[in-house]
Amino acid sequence: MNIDGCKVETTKGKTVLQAALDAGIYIPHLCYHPSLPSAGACRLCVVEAEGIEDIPTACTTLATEGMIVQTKTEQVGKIRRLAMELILSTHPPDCTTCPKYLNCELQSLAQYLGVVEQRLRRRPRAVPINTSNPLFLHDLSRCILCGRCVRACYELRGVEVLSFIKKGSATYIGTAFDRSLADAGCRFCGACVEVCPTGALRDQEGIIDSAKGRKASLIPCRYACPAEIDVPRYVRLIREQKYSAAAAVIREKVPFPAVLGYVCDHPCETACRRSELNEAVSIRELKRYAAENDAKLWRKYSGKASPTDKRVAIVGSGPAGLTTAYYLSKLGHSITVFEALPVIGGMMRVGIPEYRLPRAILNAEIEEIINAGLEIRTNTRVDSLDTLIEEGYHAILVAVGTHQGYKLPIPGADLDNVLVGTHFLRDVNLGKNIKVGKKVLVLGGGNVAFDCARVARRLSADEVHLACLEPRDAMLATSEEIVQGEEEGIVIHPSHTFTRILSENGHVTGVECLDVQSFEFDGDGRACIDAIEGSEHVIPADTIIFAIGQHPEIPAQYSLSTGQGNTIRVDTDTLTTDREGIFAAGDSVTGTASVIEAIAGGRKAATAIDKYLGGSGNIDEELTPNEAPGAWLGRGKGFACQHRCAMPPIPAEHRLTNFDPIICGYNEETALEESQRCLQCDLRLKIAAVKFWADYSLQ
Amino acid sequence: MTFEQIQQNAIAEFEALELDDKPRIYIGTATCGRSAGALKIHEHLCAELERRNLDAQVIEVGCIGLCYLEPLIYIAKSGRPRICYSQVTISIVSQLITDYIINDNHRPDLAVCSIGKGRIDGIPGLADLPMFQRQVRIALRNCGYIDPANINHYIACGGYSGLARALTMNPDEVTAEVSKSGLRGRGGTGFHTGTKWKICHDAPGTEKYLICNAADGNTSRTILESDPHSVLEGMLIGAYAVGAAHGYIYINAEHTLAIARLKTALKQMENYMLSNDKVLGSNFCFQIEVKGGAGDLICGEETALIQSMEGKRGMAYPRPPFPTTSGLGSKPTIINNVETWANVSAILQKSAEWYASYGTMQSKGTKVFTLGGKVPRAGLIEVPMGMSLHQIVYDIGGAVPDSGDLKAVLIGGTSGGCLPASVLSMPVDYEHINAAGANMGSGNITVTDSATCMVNLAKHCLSFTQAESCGKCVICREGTSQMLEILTDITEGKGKPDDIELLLELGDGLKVGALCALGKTAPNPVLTTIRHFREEYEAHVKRKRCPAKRCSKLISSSVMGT
Repeated sequence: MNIDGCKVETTKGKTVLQAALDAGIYIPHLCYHPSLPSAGACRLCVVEAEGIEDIPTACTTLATEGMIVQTKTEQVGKIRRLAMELILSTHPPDCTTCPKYLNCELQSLAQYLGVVEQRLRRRPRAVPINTSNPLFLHDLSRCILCGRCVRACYELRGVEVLSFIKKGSATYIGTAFDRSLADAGCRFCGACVEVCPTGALRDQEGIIDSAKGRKASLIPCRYACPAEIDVPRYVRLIREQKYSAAAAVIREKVPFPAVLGYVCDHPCETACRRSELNEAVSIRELKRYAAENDAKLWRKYSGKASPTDKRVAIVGSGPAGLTTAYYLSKLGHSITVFEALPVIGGMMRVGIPEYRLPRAILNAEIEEIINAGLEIRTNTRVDSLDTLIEEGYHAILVAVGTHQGYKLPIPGADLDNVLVGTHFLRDVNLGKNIKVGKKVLVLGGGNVAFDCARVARRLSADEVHLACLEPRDAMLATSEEIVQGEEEGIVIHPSHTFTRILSENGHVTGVECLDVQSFEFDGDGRACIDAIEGSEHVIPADTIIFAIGQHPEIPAQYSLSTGQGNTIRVDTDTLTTDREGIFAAGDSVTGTASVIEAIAGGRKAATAIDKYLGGSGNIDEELTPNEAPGAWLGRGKGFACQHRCAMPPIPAEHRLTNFDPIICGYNEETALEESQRCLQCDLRLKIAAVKFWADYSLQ
Repeated sequence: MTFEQIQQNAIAEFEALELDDKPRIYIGTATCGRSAGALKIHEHLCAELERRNLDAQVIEVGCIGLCYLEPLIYIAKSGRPRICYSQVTISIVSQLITDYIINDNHRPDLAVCSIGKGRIDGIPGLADLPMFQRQVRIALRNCGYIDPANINHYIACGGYSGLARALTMNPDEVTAEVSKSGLRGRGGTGFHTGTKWKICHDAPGTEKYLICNAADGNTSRTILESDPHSVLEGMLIGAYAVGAAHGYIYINAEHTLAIARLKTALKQMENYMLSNDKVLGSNFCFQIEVKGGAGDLICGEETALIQSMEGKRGMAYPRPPFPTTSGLGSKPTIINNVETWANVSAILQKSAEWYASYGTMQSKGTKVFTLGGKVPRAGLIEVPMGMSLHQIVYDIGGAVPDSGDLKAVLIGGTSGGCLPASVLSMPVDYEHINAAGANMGSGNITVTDSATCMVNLAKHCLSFTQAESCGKCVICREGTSQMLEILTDITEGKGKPDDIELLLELGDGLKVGALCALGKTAPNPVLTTIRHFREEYEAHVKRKRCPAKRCSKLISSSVMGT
């Protein structure tokens, strides 16, 4: 065909507009969007075409063989300018105060068409901004009724919520009977906002965090995850009943899918946009379901590079160490993991109680890692890094965790039956025969404190108390731990400080406490406590467990510089320590954090070490074919009020007698139901980006 | 039963009715009659007959076109023509029962005309009435004459013989016959009906649809209320010609009487094997369904009509593809309006040559108009194409020539063009009407007198079309709103010097740039009133005066100024 005298070739089925744009010939357009069917509504893309009456819109006219099109005649120029003047006559003139300023297609087009002077009557649509819906706001005074959002809602997504309401000059975009988006059956996919050319449909204030960027702001679950697991993708695969593929997607980022399915502290759920509607999607339970229904199809996509001649020593077999070991091994390096304890897994094995993480689950995932071809030496404490260097290791990762707990320096702290939480948990987990008294008091209010308390309850204690500095609503443990702990009979004493441990004949009898008014930490991390005078009282106990924090145990011979809490100082990007070829990751760098943080650190270290050894540092794998997700969602009646499928633990009386897992996990029905609650925020970013006219003039 | 038998029975029934000793009282109960109180009259009539223990038959008929004389009743006695009495009241009805039914005094003083074979002294025949002398009634051939709820009446008057004839031809021959008649779509654009059918017939695909557009105005409604079978027969013929097995009548759901008449008619057709399987024993199958719409003006536009029928919001979309190749459900679809279908049945009943003998070279046949406004004889009329506006307005409508009071004629309703008295010699056909910036579609001819302000008239038209814009296309939605705002300003004395030029520019923009016919025709009243009555606009804008003294804000300001 011929456009403006240029010979243009295009494929059958394309419109004149697409043919022209493909050929770099710009025709102004506003209601056209590359991801949506054409409407011919804005009249800006009118052209003249031989043999066609009137002036057709290029976006709705199919290109045909030998067609002769003129895009810049006087007549079409007149209509375009008139259409733009008419659009602007209802649009607020205050561009600079609009959040879409400089990113607005209307503004850009008005400049392109040179429409400045306003000859027409101003007919503003004085509509207040509607911020009553979650996630999105409707600023209809800026709406130009291009209908993109309606086409996105009806024809791209099939949700059929946003439509043209009323007629003539009263026309506006909204829901039938002006219902809320939730009541109208919105799925909150965001397609409408994504395609809006002006500032009419926008994300609610604060949703786009420019520091994090658009992607991280709009798919927060994925980017809140330290390992950036593609959450929406695997949740979608679960919904499609492709559980192995879902597990493979998780495994693309972490070698411990099942472990995380049990114990992850799920920052993804905290970030989940669904929580703006009602409750976050239960992502962790879905992950567990996928991992437990994994037919391991990913194995055939998982490769191992040919051996390099590099040797790497990993000190510590916790989640960080094993993750690094796994990825480096797959990159062909020769890996030796040194573990001081007789067991593999670090805190996953000796910190987390078995009722939270069944050992069979852990063993299976460790076995998978060992199968990648690496050596783990247990009962092998590394006292000196220099020795390892002398042994010919080209790089070393220190990932020793934070196994060193401590006690408060108060009188009586060194009595028998005054224990340290981390040691207590380790001994129990190592199967040692640990006896606690009948009345146990745990000092501390974090997750480890609850682990200690709940383990003590399962041993032989009749009564377990837990006292902590923080007020009830600021306790560091997750609400899940607190609730389950109380169900198990643990008595919580918040806002307490401890002055001394009382004893009789060398036997502990209790702790003398004061009530706390308030407290804060000073610059050095020391607590400044405002205790209530005269509030002294005693909590009786025969066993005391301190769970007030822990830090890494870094031997001085390592010659590594350490910072606050004895953590190893590293370059945050490369995880290199101040010693050449020595890297550090996990809790020993971050302080006590989470399994997913440690895994993310391990991944980072693997990349850094591979690069250090001359590799590309690329540890990414594609473990399942990359499917294109369907854009069609269908109607969503009742979608917004679907509640999170709760997964209640088994009754407390049944769990106190053993260390069996306390949460059963989803069955297929509940997993599917929960997966359907996902907003699929990632679909929005699959909508094609629009190009501005300036982008074409650059071509 | 063969069609010949059906026909013979129907004729026998109809003749027996005419010769029956029982008097018959017909009453016009179409919407025009009802709005004049026909139902009350009907009720009273029945009660009165019962009270006096009189054996007479009361038959409801549709609109005969003398709408200005409603309510109308027609009384017939055995073997005599019906006598039409106009503007009847309850007391006149009682009086007529006494005088004519009982005492055989036919009261020429109250009669308008006689209808049917034979003459009655002192009463003119219908065709002799000035309003009817120049009319040629084809689409309206049975309106007001037959009982629309009785298929036998229609058949007795030649009904379904067109279908029977079509079924003896092959589909191409039927299309050729319609082409030969020169029939053009009465919906407004005047596309040749035969050509449209051929495109649809030749379009790929075995599944095709046929739609009767009954959402385009009052003319359609009146025909459906008065003679539904003439339309249904046309649809059957069209379906046979293009190969459609399903047909729909799209109508404003509020037009309950027309819908009721259609439903009755459809049931009767089934009984006579005139629809569904094996129509009249042939292999031709056709089902017809009535679809109610919301009555939006835009749904008379064919693309919006299709959207509405598909359950979506009625919004126009750009053509091509035209419905003839991709319409309902993206299948080839024929859409013609009620009047067109009523003409089709007449063409097949008589002949293409007969039909083509009416009208002009390019515009054949007749056209139905709703004649209204400042004319003494307002009503539903049908005239041969090419008749001058002068004849319509003066001869049929009864306007008084040279009275100086006829100011303008608005042709095409709110989307129409406004022509001054000076151009009334213009013949009425597609070419002239379109060239004059008016529009055939709505079939309205409205006469205005010197008391009408042309700016106000244009504003009134725009306020309607603006409110009916579907809202999709910028030029239509914002253009009509913008023009309305400017017109409002002008009528309120707030017009600016450039406003007239701005209106012209906006109007031209709409004509060229709007997506559908609603937008393209919306500026017609403004453009034509500026073309022919520019000085009135200038008086409003420059001197802040309304020459017709209609714009109240200008009157008060000039009073205050003096």
